Amino acid sequence: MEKARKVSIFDKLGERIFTRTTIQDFLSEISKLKEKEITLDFNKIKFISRSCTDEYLKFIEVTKKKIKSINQSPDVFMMVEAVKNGLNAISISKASDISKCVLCEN
Amino acid sequence: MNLKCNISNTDDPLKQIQECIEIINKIDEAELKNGEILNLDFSDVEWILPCSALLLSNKIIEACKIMDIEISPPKAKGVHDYLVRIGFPLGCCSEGNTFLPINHFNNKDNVNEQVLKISGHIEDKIDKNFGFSINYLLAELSDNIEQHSQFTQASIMTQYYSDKKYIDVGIFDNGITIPTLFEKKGLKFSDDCDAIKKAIEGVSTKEEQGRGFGLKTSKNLVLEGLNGEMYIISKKGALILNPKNKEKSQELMKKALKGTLIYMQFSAPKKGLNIIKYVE
Repeated sequence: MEKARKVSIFDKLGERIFTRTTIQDFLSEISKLKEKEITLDFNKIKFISRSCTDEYLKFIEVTKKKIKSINQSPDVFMMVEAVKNGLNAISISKASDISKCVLCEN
Repeated sequence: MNLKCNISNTDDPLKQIQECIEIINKIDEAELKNGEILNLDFSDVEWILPCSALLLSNKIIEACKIMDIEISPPKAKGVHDYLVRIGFPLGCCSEGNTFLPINHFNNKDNVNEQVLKISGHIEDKIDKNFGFSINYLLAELSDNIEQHSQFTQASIMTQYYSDKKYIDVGIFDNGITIPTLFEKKGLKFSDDCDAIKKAIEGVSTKEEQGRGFGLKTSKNLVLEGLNGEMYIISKKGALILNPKNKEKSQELMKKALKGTLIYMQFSAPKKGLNIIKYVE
């Protein structure tokens, strides 16, 4: 089995990540790596946009690889948490709507 | 062929924008004979706002691909010097202490790299209390351009007034506009202003979860976090948002803008701003 691999986001994308396309391309490269466990190193990343964070979280959710993130600055960490909470809120509200519909039908 | 470019001496962005649309349409309609040059005559312009310089420069750089253009600069020294400083119309590499020149990029450029360059340049010049707000706005709005607009040419500029700690940020793309995109995706709206309103309320043309937040959160950040003003002009719709008038002032313009302009004006917050509060 392939060993875990550490990838520096800074080395690939620089200190700020702005557009979905950029992170989509990067995550697509990550998907192609042989290793099943990937450590994404956020060291030196000053800023990640909301859109990119959204893409990153969606990727973590669907990928078969085990993704670990390290060295997130407080700003990056807060952005990830804020978007994660937003996504959860959306999931809950959609789930509630569905349950209401099911109840109506019954 | 001479095209007189009339721009009012006003601080009202919407008035100048409408005049710029007139000029842009005339450039589009210009019928030049073989070898003829289009002269854009700005000689009588006494005042030009950054949003107007941005719109016109975007058009000129696009038009330069198909016609020869000359510019008669404004006679007013202040306006002439300002246009030179901001690199009107083609953009320039040098930057000043308080402004970043017009930056143009096209759909073949790496948008992330362009915005990275702009953001890196502006960060050291502005008040630290802005936090990551400029990064956030540039990121979300340029991502919208890349994801939705089908643009061929986009332009960004910022102007910082250090004495007032005040900043103007303008982003324009010459893509298909918000109302046209809504129409193509079958989203209902009553007029072009309504389409913009729906976009800032989070209606997205992308169906997947987590979309439609870019414009909405940017608006929240500008109005609530930065107590600023935001103009969104797309096709015939013009929406002016400010913290005092949350009901939104709107106007259907006589002539349509071929693209989407987002122009923001705001001051540095008194305390360091944490943008996370405005992220959804």
